[in-house]
Amino acid sequence: MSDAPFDIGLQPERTLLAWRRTCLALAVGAMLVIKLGAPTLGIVAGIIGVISLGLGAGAYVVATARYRMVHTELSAGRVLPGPGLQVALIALGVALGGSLAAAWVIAVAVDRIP
Amino acid sequence: MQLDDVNPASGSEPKDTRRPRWVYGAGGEPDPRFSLANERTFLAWVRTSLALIAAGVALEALQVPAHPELRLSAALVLIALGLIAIVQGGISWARTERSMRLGVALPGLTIGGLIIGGVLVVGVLVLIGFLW
Repeated sequence: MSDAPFDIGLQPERTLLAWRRTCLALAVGAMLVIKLGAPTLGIVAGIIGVISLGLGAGAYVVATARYRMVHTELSAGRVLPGPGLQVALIALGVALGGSLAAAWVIAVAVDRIP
Repeated sequence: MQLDDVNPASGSEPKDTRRPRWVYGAGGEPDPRFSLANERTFLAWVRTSLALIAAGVALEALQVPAHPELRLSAALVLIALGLIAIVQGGISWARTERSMRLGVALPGLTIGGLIIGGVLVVGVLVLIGFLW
């Protein structure tokens, strides 16, 4: 087990940080969705927001676990473990939150049009 | 830690279970650093998508003092661009990874023009909305 990084450009490490900041950004978005959406659109919006938040949290956890795998596998000369699960989790989280954002904008804006 | 490498029973490569299969079932292994760069590009699209959606929500949440119907139109264009960006970002990650595995030219920036055009439209809508 080597402590030396796989790549002197620190690619796996930079990728882990990119995953983390993206998951945090989704978490902030999901919390906004809950805060704005639940009072206007009701409990369903709150539940969708919580699911979106959970998908972001899941992607964060999977990304951290995968970083360790990436380091171990690449250092041993084996192939890069795939990010398919993380990609699916975060894309679904953003798509759900974004759809709810569209519903919220329509709901509040239509009321405001004189 | 290298026991697997000297174990004669593990002569064959472990079965590749990476998903999606239409990506990982094709071609050979690219340099892992390029695959990681492709992942970070996907993540940049995710953040772009979140920024577009947040901008759309902000127009209404902050009740920006613009003509209400134009403001709603601008907000909907922004959120639609955000949803297009996340879908395209995911598709593009997979297509790029597959192209790298096959050693063929990478797909182009498919929705670049759409994003530019959309943001321009939003800017014009909000500007007219202010002046209305």
